[in-house]
Formats: sequence, structure tokens, C-alpha cells
Amino acid sequence: MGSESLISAVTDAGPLIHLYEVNAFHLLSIIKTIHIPHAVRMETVGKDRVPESSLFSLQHTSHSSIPEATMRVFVNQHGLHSIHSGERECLYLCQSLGIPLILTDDLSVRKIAKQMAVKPIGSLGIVIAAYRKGLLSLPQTRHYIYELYTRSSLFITKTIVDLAFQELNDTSRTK
Amino acid sequence: MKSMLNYLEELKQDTDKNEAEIVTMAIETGLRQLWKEKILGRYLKKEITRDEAIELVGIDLVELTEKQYDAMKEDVEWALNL
Repeated sequence: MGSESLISAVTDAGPLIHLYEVNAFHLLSIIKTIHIPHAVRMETVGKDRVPESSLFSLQHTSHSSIPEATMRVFVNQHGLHSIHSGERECLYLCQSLGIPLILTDDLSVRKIAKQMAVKPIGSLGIVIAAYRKGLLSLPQTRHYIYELYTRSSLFITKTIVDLAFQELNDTSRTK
Repeated sequence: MKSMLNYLEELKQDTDKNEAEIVTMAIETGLRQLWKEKILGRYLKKEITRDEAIELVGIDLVELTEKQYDAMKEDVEWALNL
């Protein structure tokens, strides 16, 4: 997998909210074009969880509204009744635009995305990708990961954070 | 994200309890949560078996932790292979 995987992604509300909560929103700039469905915009900007100015700060964003009837067909086809509208719209955009990457921190959505051959990546993955792309040093990366645990509303345990650090250190030493 | 004071105020109104009672409940709940996290951590670090973890915190939390661990591994692997 190479840089082509960072050309475009569709994002769910979770990574937008969690990265904003730890002042790491700018790290989303590693992805060239970020597609934001209308329902996700409503869950974030519409509920004052992410300021509009932050979305504007991303260089290339595409905001999509999907007709209700189209979504109804898609939801029925794939049995997506158990997930929220923002997540459904994300999966619809991935499929209809042929985008192979979805940003989500929702474990249920990750599972469905994989079944639809879409790669799910969470806030943690974005922070580590920013490190890999040279936007962050190793200590900065550790800082943001720890902030996701202590300050954001992302549900993650201390052990998962510790093991992520360990993976990062081990791999960094061998690369 | 709401501040702790917002949470406290809303809980006071919703539960009809005073500040001290809510703070006591919060400490108890927090300690229970930290204890569960510690058990799950020991499981992920292979210090206890899956069966022991299930016995101590229940299968739902063990399965949730396994999914989180898998998600973390996938994220790290994807990011470091860019």
C-alpha cells in the first residue's frame, strides 16, 4: 500500500470530532481530498462539535448531499439499519465514488466497511500516518495519541494506547 | 465536549442528589471502570487467560477490547506501511 491510499477518503463524524478535541485537526491534511457527507456535517458542525472554520482549513473537502430515496435503497440493499445516517452516507459515498478509505472510530462501521471492501482507519491511524509522512516527530505522535486517550471523547483504554506506542516504537526501530 | 461542571450540574438536576453524593458515585464508578480496564489490560498483555478475563469483567467487555485491539493493530499497520 502506498501514497495512493491517501488521495481521498470519506470521513465519519468520529475522527473529525476526536482530532478536533485534541487540537490535531490539521493532521487530516495528509489526505488530499476528504469527502464529508451532509449527515456527518450535521453531526459535527451542525451540533457545534467542530467549528465550520476547521472544515474550511482542510484544503480539499467535498460536501455531498445524497437524495433520501437513494439512501433508502442503499440501506435496504446492504442491511444498514443498525448504524447512523452519517455512517450510512459515508459507506454510500465510498461505494458510489469508488473511494477505498473510510475514516471512522466506530467498531461496527469498521466491520461493515471491511465487508464492503473499504479500508477503515481511525483517529489513531491518522496520527500515526502523519508521523509516517513526516508531519510529526515520535514524541509529538506519542503526545497526540495520549491526548486521544485522556482528552478526547474517543473510547480507548490505557493498555491499547500503551500497546500502540509499543508497536510504533518497535516498527520505527526496524524501518 | 462538555466540561465536568456541565456534567455535574445535569446529573444534580436529573438524579435529585447533591454534589457530594454525585462525586462519591463518580469516584466509585471511576474506580470500578479503572479496575475493569486493568483486568482487560492484563488480558491483552497475556498475563491472564481469556477465560479468566471473562470471569472477571464479562464477555461483552472482553469482546469489545478484542475489537479495539484489532482496530489499533490495523491502524498502526496501515499507517506505518504508507
